[in-house]
Amino acid sequence: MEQQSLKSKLSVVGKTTVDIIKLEGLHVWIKENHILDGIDVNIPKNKITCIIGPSGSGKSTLIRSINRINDDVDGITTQGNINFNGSSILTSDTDIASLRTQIGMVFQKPCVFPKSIKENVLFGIQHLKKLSKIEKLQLVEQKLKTVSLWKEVSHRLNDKAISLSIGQQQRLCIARTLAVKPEVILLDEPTSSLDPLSTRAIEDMMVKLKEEYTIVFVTHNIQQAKRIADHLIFLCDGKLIEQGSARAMFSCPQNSQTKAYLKDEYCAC
Amino acid sequence: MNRQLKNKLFTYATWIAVVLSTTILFFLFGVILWNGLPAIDLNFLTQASSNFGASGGIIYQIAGSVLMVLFSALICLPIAIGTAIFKSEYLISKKLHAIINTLIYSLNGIPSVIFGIFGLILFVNILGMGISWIVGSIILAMMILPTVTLSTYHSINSIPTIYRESSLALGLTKWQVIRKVLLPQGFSGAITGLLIGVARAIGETAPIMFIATAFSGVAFPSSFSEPVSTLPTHILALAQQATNPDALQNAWGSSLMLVTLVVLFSISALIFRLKHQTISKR
Amino acid sequence: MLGLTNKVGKFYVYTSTLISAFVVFLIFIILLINSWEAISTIGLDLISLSWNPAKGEFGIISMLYGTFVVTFIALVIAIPLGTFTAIFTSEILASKYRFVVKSTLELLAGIPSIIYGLIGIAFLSIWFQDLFDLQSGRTLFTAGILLSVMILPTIITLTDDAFHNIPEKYRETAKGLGLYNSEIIKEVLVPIAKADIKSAILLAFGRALGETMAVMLVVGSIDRLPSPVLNWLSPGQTITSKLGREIAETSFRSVHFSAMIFMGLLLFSIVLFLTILAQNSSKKTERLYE
Repeated sequence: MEQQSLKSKLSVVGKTTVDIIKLEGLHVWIKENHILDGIDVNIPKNKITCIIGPSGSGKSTLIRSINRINDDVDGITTQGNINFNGSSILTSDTDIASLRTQIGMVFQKPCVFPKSIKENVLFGIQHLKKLSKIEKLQLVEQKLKTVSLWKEVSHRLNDKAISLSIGQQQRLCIARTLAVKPEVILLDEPTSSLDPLSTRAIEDMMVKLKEEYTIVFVTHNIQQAKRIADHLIFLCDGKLIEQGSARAMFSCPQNSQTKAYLKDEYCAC
Repeated sequence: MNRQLKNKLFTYATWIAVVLSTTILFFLFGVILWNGLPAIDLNFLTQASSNFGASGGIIYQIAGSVLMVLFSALICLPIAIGTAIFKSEYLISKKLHAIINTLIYSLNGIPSVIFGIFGLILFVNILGMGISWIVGSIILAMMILPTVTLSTYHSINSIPTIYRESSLALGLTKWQVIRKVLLPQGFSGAITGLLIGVARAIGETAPIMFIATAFSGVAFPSSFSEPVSTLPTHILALAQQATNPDALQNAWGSSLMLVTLVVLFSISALIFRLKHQTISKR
Repeated sequence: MLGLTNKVGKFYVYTSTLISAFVVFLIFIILLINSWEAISTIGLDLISLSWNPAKGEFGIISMLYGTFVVTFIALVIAIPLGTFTAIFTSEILASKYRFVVKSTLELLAGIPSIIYGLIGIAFLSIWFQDLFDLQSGRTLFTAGILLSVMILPTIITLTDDAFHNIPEKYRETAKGLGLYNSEIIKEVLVPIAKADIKSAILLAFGRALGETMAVMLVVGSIDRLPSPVLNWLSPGQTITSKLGREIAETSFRSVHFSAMIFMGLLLFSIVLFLTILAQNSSKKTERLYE
């Protein structure tokens, strides 16, 4: 309830950038490994934030901390704070399941459930509220159109989702997440196992989606970040090297490491 | 809130199940230890039984059990290895593979008492071998055959194809590849399977009680065609005199000894499996 | 020389396989031949109530009834208890304890059935005798309860494996959509593991039907239906307990012997059918040595 009212207050503020998520001094250890080392970043509302960095830099751990999907990883310790809409989500009384309906997530490899295409789209939302048959159909159509999958699958909504191509499956996963109507969507390298065409389709979709959603997008592909990012976060070896508006960072990075990485994809840290 | 409540109730339900299951399972171990330990001393382990088992020890029962499973392992091993090699290296047809698998699993599922009456009809009566421990060994070998075969098969089958191809490319014959490259690895699987199989075989009563054992007055056999006494059949005989406290006490002692043997074989199997685990998958 | 060892090897491998494959058929044929006497001379009278060898009556109904009642009781208790325990060990228990739990369960599954029988005689039957004020605590119900404990480890390990083999990505995806743990288990994991759970239950079913020693010691061994028929707190008989008690005292090739073997054949066929069903239900071929 409190978050609802906060949300409406925030929307009054309007066009000026508002940070929907704030990470303050976030440390994460997995067993003895210090994966994230005191990260302070902001995620601006209704923007695409890209997190870049070499592999092993902690990009995935960072994004997975935001909806606490990391909680169940064996031997994990988290310290610091994450604020979402002004309140901390790392408290012990946070209802994690309902948090995850507000902060949705799409994973690296598409994961469709062994059910039909239609059931997959409705999978998350049907737990949140009762929908009539017509509402369900409308929702399925609307979400599949948003991810431009409707034309390809409208005649076979009851087919098994596993029969789709990998690129189609990933778009279906995005539609499934959209159906829950989260405020934030986290995407963890969603295009890394896809062909170039599907990758482009998803990038275009992201640019459209930021009107309604806040998008956090992990990628190891600098060109991709350049094409879609509004805000850029550069991690290396578990540390935040630089963050800022994408345009500024790409044109004149403040940090020499950032400069080297953006130019040669090489990071000496 | 409703969904959250349901989630909580569900978690409680699993907790109740776990507490119940663990209580039952620990009760079992506890009972065997609690009743068995007072019955066991050096005399019990080293003397022959007397007075229909109510007094004396269980040395011949231990010897009989170990002898019987040892021979069942010896009988089972070559057949299991041969079948495993066939399944892994010679069999190409998928259909035949499925049929052989079905047969192996069926053999594994056959109730133990059926093995007993099968042995009684074929070996004891038709072939006239009489009630003898070697019949028991043959029957137990049949029972553990599926376990040993599949364990061997999995360890041979997990060797990457590249090893076979590179050996063949060096001019080795198929059989040489099997002997030099595949068998050394397959053997560790066979031993693991044998240990698991023997752990099961040594506790079996139903398959051997009418074909291989006598209940009392039996010492170490001097030929293949004599009956022996074993731990499980000894426990059975004593359990039927459960009103006699001495007999019951010895039954618990024999049970603890039997469980100890089973656990020893199982743990060796576990250690062997962990030690020789194959890293590569085919 | 090389060609010869190659041939000998091939011969060895083929012979072993033939032996392995042949055993099941051999058992079936031996049982069939030896029950033929009963089938041909007694015929449909096998399916009657009275078993009295002295009068030449060989009705197997009460043994069949006992077998199914005991198995039914065992499954009704062990399936829910085992499945929920497996859900706990696979989905709720931290993975670092898993090895210990699995090993304990495998050890328990390895306790020989004769020892369960001893526990049944020394404790369970005496408890039930006092609790229900019975003449004797050796009843169908006692056997069913004991059997449920015996098949519990089987159900737990196999079901736990079924859950544990589901890739982590399904759980994470469902979590990402804001589902609670119970919803993930009910709507994602159970449907995926269903085939394997089914096969675990079928295997446990087969094992319960064929269990001999423990049942034989506590079932009471009386060859008639309880009266009233649903009074399971009265002694009964199962196929296995009948075979275990009587076969050694029956002379080979008599009608009596043949009627006993006929029951064995029946049991063999039912268990074989269940095993094949279980095998077809589970797509994996790995599970066996537990």
